[in-house]
Amino acid sequence: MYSILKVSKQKVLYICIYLIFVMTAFSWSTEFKDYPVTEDCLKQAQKEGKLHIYDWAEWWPEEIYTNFEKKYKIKIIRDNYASDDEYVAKFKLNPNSPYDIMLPSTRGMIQLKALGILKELNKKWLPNAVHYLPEENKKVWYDLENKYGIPTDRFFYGYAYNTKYVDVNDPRIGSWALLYEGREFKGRITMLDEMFVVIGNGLKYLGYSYNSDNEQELMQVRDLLTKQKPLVMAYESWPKRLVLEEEAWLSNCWVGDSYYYSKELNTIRGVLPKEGTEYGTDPLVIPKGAPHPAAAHLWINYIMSPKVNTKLIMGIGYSPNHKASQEMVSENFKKWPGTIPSKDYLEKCEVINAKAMTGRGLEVRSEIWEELKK
Amino acid sequence: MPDYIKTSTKKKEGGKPAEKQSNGGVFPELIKYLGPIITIQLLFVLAPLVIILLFSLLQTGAYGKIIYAFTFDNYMKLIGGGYGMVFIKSFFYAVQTNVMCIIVAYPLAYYITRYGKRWKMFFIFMIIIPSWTAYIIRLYALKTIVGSHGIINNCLMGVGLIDTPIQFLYTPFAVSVGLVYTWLPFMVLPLFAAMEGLDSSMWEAAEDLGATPFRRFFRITLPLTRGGLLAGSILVMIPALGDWLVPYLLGGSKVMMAGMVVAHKFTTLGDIPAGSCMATALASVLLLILYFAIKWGGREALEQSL
Repeated sequence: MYSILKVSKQKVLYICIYLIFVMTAFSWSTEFKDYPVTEDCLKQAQKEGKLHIYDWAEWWPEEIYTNFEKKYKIKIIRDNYASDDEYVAKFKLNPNSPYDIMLPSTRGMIQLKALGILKELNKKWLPNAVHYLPEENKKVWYDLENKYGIPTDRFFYGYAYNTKYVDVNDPRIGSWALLYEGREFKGRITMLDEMFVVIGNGLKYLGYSYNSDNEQELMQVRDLLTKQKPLVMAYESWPKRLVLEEEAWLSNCWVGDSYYYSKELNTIRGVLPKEGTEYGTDPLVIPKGAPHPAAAHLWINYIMSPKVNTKLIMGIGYSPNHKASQEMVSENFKKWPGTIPSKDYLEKCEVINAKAMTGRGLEVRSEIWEELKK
Repeated sequence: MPDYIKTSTKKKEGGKPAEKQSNGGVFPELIKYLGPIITIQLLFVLAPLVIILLFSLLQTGAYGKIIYAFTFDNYMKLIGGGYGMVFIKSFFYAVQTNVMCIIVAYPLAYYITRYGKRWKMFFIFMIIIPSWTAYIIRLYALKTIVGSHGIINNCLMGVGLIDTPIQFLYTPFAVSVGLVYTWLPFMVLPLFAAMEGLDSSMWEAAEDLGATPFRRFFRITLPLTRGGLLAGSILVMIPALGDWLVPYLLGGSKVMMAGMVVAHKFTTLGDIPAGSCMATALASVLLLILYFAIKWGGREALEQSL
């Protein structure tokens, strides 16, 4: 009896050890792999030795840049812009500006592509992007199959509200109605100072397409906005200070930003409006005049490696656009509205397109905006 | 105006002796003396203006692509686009700023010159110092002072004068205050210079002859500082008319001044020709104002402002 027991004990031990091995092996297999670039790309990049980046100032965590320099011994030279229009104007006047990497937003990318200054990406040098980009990315109208840009994140417009002043049980929460028609919050609302966003989301609220160029629909939005204007404290694109100092109670913002507001002030909640919103990405692109193309590909592949992308996403608080980092971000962050929206919700969102950005759509939008600010 | 006053304020005529004396032709002499300044003027003043003017005559394609083809469309749109209100509003703000600046700066300059004594330079220095920091930083500083959780509101609430903070930011009033705050030094300095040039014995003479303070001011001080007043007005009104940061930062971007429409065209619409057209129109209006100011104020105004 004793011997049997002993044997079985030993067996149990063996089984345990075996199980541990199996489990570690299993867990290794589920951990997301970092696919390195091909030899020739790496060699060429190191020969080039430099990388000219032209991107937003003080947005991505500094660590990401310094780690890249340390890892690949490539020197990064950065130049910054403060708005989409800055770099678009620059490239409009000199299409061959010598930058290797740029980080435009959706609207900027559409303009840059229309100006014909983007270089086609070499997918063989971007294994991480090939493995981890979600399928729906390949169907975006302005960049089919991700020929010219690799989106690093996604963004959605919504609003933040302060539970101290706005009743959590207000039935309008979860809809644009609270922001566009919250009469009792007069003088406590901030709207983004962005023509396309404010008008487009107004269209969404009224049940039309974000990109509508139908004049009647646009006129309805004009009426909505002129009625809303007395309620608005300011048209402010960076309302952080106003939100945190509790001057603004309802604030139109990128939903990702509201996550960071809530970390500093715990009564802040974010809302991803049920009517839908604009959906956009921040892609990395390589301009035609790039003097160091291999280093640029190396950089894109580095940003798309699961660990770096997760660090980036957690650093900026925007929605991950990466099969691995969608799993790897913290549980707390996953629960925030707009981090990982459902497929159904994504159907309701729209990407900005030519109807809004050119021709009559643009003209009427501009007229509305100029009239609103008179 | 008595004759002795006229001669005392008259500046020495500079003339151009170099031209007259030279016997190897005027042109080489001119190049020798004026070459550097002409180069700078051409490169940094004239060339940008000409570029803006040229851009304003070009067409725009989809996504703001510049089409290099000549057109007057932008100007036609400008005339028919209902920008009258924007110009009038900007003009109103500029004039208002100017008047407020005069009201604040005139007594200030007067008291500094008359009663400043050895502290004179120190006071002037204190007026100039804030303009050493960037304009945008000063505006942000002003924002923290007057915001609803700013110093003024906190003090008033601490003393118990008010219960809820006064909403001051993002009102038209804030825009006016911001404009006056930003451009005040440019009014004080020419006025100060004009008053420094005044001979104090004239006041004494007027007093001896029995002029009342009121009369003294209107017969002596004001006419003799007219040049400084006009120079200050040029320096304040022109930038105030084109200003767009103050309405943007302190006005919550709820009101578009002319400068902001230009920025809107350039940035949001990405329409460089239309923006250039607006800028050209704005610049022409400013030139017109400058022309009349100099015509009415004479050479004094120009000399004081340089």
